[in-house]
Amino acid sequence: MRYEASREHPEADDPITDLAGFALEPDAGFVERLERSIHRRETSAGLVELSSVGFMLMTKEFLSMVLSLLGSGSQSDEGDPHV
Amino acid sequence: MIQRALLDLDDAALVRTAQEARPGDGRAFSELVRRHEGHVRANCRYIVGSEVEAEDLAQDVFLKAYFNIASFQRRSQFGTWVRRIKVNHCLNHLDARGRRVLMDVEAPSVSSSAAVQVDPVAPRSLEVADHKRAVDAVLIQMNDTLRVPLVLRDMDGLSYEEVAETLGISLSAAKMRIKRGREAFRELWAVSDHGDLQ
Repeated sequence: MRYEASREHPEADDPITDLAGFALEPDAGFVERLERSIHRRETSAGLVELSSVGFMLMTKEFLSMVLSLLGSGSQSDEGDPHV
Repeated sequence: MIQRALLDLDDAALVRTAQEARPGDGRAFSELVRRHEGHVRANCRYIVGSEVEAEDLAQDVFLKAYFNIASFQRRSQFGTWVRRIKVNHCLNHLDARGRRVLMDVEAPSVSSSAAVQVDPVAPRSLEVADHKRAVDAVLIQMNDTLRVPLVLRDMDGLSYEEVAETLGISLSAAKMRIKRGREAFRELWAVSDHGDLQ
């Protein structure tokens, strides 16, 4: 682009006007790299979520086991006539 | 087919589509990125003054936009919203590097320093093939102190008040930097290969 001298439009000579909305040439790989990053983050977030759910399930199982053990202990006490 | 239909949508419709998309369907968002990445990459490059860092920063800007698109209220345009994310992210990056542009260009000790002076020899070595490269070559030679306010005002379209607020400087200081930045840009442009073509 050249800046032709113009008395009617002196701003046409000013290279500053070309800065408005200035953009670099499109980079075809940019969107692909971004999509890969998004996918990686979503996958790792999903894994964290899964591991959180897994941890909660394990805790629930553990507590159930403890409760059932405690329950069976007290039941056996009640069931023994000599105690 | 769907990808083609997305091309016909304006930004506002694409944002709606992206917000309503099923998890994992980023096609509408990717189309928005295609439309804005050139400008965002340019801005990041000229705010931080580094091509390598700008690439990562531009990726971060769109990652933030993607993971926050659901909270975007659509009261402003997508480009304006991304611009806010971008400017904040790039300035935070400069802060982290200790390179915040807080030099007072009106102070005598600074106005005569090499940091805000135009090197009369460097521009002559420019061998620019096209207009974009010419603009790029001129901008990248400028010091942060003048380039960042110029980019925010004349490339991003922020008002003088917004530039002052964004950079944490007074309105008069913002106006002075933009004025000096424009002068420096014109001067470098005039002595560049591209300027010689006029």
